[in-house]
Amino acid sequence: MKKALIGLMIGLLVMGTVASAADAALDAYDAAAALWVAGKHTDAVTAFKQLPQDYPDAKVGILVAAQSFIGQDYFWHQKAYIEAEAVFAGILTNFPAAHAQQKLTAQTYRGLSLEKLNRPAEANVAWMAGIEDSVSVLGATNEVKGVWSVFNKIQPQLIPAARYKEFLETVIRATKATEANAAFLGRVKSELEKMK
Amino acid sequence: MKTALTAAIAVALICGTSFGGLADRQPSEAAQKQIDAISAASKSNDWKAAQQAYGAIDLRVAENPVAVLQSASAAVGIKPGAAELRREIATKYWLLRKDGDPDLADTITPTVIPIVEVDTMEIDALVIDALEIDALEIDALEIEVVVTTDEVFLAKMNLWTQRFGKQIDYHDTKGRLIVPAHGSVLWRERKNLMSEIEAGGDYDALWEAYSARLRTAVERRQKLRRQR
Repeated sequence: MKKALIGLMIGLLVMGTVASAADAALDAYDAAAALWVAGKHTDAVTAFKQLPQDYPDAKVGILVAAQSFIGQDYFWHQKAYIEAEAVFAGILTNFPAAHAQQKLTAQTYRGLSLEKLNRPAEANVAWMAGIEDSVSVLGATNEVKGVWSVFNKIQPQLIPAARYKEFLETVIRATKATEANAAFLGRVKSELEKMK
Repeated sequence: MKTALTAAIAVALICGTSFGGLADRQPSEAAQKQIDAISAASKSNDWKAAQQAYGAIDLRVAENPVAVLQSASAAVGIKPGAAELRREIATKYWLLRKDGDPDLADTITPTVIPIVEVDTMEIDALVIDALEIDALEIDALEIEVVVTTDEVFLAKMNLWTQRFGKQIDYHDTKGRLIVPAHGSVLWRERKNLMSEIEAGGDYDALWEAYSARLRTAVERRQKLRRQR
């Protein structure tokens, strides 16, 4: 009985420590994000870069979001597209457990960066990979957002026909055949029919 | 001219009643495990569990997705309580089936998938068959540009625009599409321009000439409207 009580107390203590570490990481993230929103991008990026060093065990979602801000700063503010592409590629390599939305965002920015670097074919590869990996989870319900908006960026004329066809088939296989995705599926199927 | 306009928006319907044999290749071990789970869930009418098991099937890696879907459909059975899942499977089956694949035993109506049928992107396929020409009492020869609300045409042009990333027509302040009148010189220029864009050729000169003439025609049309 006594041992059980001690075990319970230790367990609660460990849980509390873990919880407070997670809270602290979230607080640090929120503080950095607040700097970003206030337009203090340089300070925000410094804080985002510090976050994984102070909280290496923070939740994947927080670590990825911090990296994403760093990449977006390179892309939008510094217009340093090589660095931006590297940051987003790093997200995909280092965080395989990232949420589908974060992976799609990373591939989207990778593609945009490659496009800016005048490497449109590689940009298309990034966008296609982003869609193939995420559409089963995210679906595609809005033409100007998410998966569908990335799909609209793709330039089929820059992709080998066999690869484009394979991509379209994969997307159809992966997308849930629900009412919400019907319009997008129609768009993809239309593309596939065209290739017959 | 090929009457490609006639069936532009297709509606997905599966009305099969026969159930053919399974395709040659059976579902993979991983897929079969989920199909067994669907079958077990179906027996206890646990449709949430059945939906989860179906969602866990990764059709991207399936060697024969049609066979997987046939098995999944059979595992669900034709039960009214499972209508949502049955419809999802039937819709996916319709999307993936090839010529010669048997119909599903389940005749539930799939979700409507709006498909713009464009067999080829030949420009001749992009013909307006219904025009809304403003009630202008002018000589027909003066009609260079017209407003179109033809949904088939708009759907095809939307597809073309997205595919090639080029917006070649004019939108008025109400958002309506203004295009050259069919058969006009400007219409032929538009066809040439689209051909060049599709071919990925050097179309800058064509683009500039066409844009300038379209703009002039639109301005002339607006002037005529004001005069009346």
